[in-house]
Amino acid sequence: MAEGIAHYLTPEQLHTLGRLVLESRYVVEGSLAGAHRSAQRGSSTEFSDHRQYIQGDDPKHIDWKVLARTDRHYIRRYEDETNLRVYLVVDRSASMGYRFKDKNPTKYEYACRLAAALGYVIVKARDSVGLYLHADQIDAKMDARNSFSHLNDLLRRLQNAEPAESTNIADALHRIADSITRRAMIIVLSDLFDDAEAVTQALAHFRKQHHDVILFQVLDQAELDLPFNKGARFEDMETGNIVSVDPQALRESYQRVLGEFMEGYQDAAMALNIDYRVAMTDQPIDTFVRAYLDERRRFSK
Amino acid sequence: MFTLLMPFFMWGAIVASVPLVIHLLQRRRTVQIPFSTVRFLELAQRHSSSKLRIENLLLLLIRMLMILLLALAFSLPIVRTTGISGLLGTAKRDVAIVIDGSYSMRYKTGSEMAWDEAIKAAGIIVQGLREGDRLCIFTATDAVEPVIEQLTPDRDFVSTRVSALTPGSTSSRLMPSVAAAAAALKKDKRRREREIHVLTDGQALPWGSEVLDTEVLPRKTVLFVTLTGALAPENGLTGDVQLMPNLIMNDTSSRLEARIAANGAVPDGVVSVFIDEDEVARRAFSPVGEGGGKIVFTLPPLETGVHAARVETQPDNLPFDNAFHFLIDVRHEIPVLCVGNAEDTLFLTRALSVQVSEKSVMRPKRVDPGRLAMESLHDYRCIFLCNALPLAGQDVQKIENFIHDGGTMVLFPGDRALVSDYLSWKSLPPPAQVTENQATRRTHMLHWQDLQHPMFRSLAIGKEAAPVIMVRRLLSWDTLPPSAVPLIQAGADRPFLVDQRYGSGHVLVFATSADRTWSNFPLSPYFLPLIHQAVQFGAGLSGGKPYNWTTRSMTLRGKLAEPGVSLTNPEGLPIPVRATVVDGETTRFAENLMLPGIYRNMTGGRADGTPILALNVERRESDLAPIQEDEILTLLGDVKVNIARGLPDLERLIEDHRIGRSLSEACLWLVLCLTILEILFANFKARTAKASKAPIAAEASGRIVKKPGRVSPVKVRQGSPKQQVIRAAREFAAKLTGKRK
Repeated sequence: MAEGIAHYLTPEQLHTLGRLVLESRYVVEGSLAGAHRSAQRGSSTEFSDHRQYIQGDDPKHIDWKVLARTDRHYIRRYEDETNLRVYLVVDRSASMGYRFKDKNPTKYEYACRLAAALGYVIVKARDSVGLYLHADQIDAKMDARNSFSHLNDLLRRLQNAEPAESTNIADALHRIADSITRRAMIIVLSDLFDDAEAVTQALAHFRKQHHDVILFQVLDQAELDLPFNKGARFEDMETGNIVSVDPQALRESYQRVLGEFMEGYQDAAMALNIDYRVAMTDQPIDTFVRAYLDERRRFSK
Repeated sequence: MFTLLMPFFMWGAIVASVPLVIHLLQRRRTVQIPFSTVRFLELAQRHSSSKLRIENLLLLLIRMLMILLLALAFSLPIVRTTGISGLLGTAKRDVAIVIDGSYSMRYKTGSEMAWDEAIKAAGIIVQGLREGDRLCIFTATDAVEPVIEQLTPDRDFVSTRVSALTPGSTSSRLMPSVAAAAAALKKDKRRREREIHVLTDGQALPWGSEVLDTEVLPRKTVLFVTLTGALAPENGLTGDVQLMPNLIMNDTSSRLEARIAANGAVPDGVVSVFIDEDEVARRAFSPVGEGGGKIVFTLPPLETGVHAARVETQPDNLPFDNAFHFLIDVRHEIPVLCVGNAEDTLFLTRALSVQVSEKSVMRPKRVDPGRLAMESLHDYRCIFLCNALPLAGQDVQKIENFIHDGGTMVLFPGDRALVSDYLSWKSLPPPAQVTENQATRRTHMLHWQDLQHPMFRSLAIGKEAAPVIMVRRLLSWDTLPPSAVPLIQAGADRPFLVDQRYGSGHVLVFATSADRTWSNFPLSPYFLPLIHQAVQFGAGLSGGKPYNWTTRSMTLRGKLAEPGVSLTNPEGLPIPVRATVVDGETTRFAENLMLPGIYRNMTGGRADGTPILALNVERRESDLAPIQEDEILTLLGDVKVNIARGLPDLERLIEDHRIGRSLSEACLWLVLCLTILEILFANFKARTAKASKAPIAAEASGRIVKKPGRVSPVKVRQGSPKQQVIRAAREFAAKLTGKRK
């Protein structure tokens, strides 16, 4: 059985994904030179602004043309470019183990594939990728590095994990936010079936620390459509609660409630300037990632 | 009262619990499905549980009601319309049946007469009765004919009597029979259910215009009217015939005018004339509208004697009135009686002895006034009285009877009679006086007053001629009674010949005598033609109509009244003749002359074949104009009336009344309606549930979009970003175009 990236992505998908780029919409703080704007002023060729010369500055940065015109000493400043550090925050709560059709992956599996695809795009762009795996608490943490071996380790870690029995997304996200000190990109992969207000506060926590946050809500199509015809007793995969309902009769009302729930996340994400997307488990992963990244690139310009 | 005829089917109502059991079992047997989270299901349930519960309960109730109604329908629920006596099981019933016995009941529909259907209806009514129920039967003709007048519980007896009944040959009146039936029911004052059944065809005639007096009905009597036969009958018939001239001489052709009547859409046909069973004429006939019309036949010369004849229309559904019988009396001479002494009647007998033409042969006989009682006046067509007054009262009565029966009397005044002698005659216009003319004023010119009078129609002399006679003495009138018509005036204002009708006959009174003592009129060239005209006119009158109507009792007159005459009906059976003597005068009656056809003379117990009477049924009954149901209801007043058209309808009405009205059909209709409702409701619920898809959809890039309007399944847009952009642009352009439109 294949492990790591080969477990989640086929060569064709890797080929498709290899040409994509994940760009941050904000400045980030990397450790290596890269393609992303850094919070630091650096020595790239991209002019940033002028600053008055102060003692101790390297004289080679003095703008002589300005000195000749104004007889004042100004220093030319250039933007620094650094690499991107991306943290994949994967939810392994019990509800993530749901799937309606056997041919479709569970939501957790789909989240792992999505993590693999995004990780591959990130590492391919020589950016660093790290991992947070959580249920009601952080189960695994891997720092961000920019090697495929690290990515393989990371994915192997995901592969070995299984959905837990309970969940507390908000609490886990708060802890993760506390643990990441430098500006980075946070990609949350979860079904977000938790207290929406608490989760929103946790996301706001990320934004407060100037992280670029992408929120992927992974859902099964059955969770949207409720395609059950006969009356059934539904057992909650997280809490174990059982509800006897007639799905046919209840469908419309259910969809309305779920729609309101998702709209709540959408509104919150818009307010926090977070990219909120819904990933359906029956959608090909490469198609989804390519469509998302293209759109993100288009809108960030 | 509500009863179930087959209550064991109500066990089927247990099946009504099946939906409930299924519902409960379904709740118990629901499968357990692990689901990511039930928080949204719980929320949804909280929002819509009450509405759902009501809908489900409604559906469950509809399904249970369907099964209950189905079981109820099979149990034959009956709503009794009778009173509490039915509940106690003591409801005894008195039934009166009135059967229309008119000959229109002979109308055939297919091979069955309306009468046959009425008899079957009577059978149904009788068979539907129970032990202890009683019956009486009346037949309605032109009179009430009780078949079983007293209520009887013997149904077999009733059935035998009913099956032996035959339709009559008269018209009918239903109301008197209904009243008689009501009176028969009213005799028993006990609490019983009462029904009066009227079995008739749909003809309007027997109902008349008289409204039933509901007071004659016992309390709570229910009337059933069963209309049998055709709804829109068609009938062609001969309504009347007239021979022209009235007096037919031998070897002379004559004409026959037949009036053909028609009801409904009678097709074109053929009308034939039979004389002595030989068809002598035939004409095609096309009835104009529904009124019919007249046909004139030319009859061939016939031999002397009485001939049996009939006009016959082509066969139709009511053959009873197709033939119209009549007699043709052909003569070779006209017997005339002259009453007076030889001198007074000299000119008259000479004038009558002259044979003016071959067709006019007169055989005068003179008799003295005193011997008049010895004569049988019915041997004569015309009687002349020449200075014969005064006569004995018996003779006056005899002559007036002769005139009344259609004879003609011609009166010549004379010196023997005073004015008062004329006044004892009821048939004569009473004269005022006998006027003596002065010698200078004796010349009078005669004026023809009414040239269209039948007497003058074949007058041989010129009508413009102005005869002048010398008159010495004249019978005169101050004013003529309205029934008297002056035919000839002497001078300006003196009636010379007066005609007065009396009964079926005429009296012709000359103002002058038949000899030369009063005038020279007997010597004038106008005396002979006028005498001959009077005889021919009188002879034509005396025949009357060549037929009679069927009747229960007929007073025999003329030849029929002679002692030696007895009658046989068309079937050859003798007709009893009874004689009564009133004031010394013998009157003979024949009874029960109800069979139409030719009645013949019977001599010595054998029919000698001489036709002496032609009888026809009155054609009023042949008017088959139908009556409307609302008209029947109006005529029967404020009574509960059930009207049935045909036997199945009658059976249903009787069942509804005696047993009750079945609710099975209504239940089944209700089940059908509920089934349709259930299908529509359940289908609507299912469609709503199926059509209800997520109101939020995700694009290929994961962006969620809210679906406008009706929710549809979540679809993920496929394709490359470029294709998506192009598609989005197209959609945007399409929206803009749509808005502009």
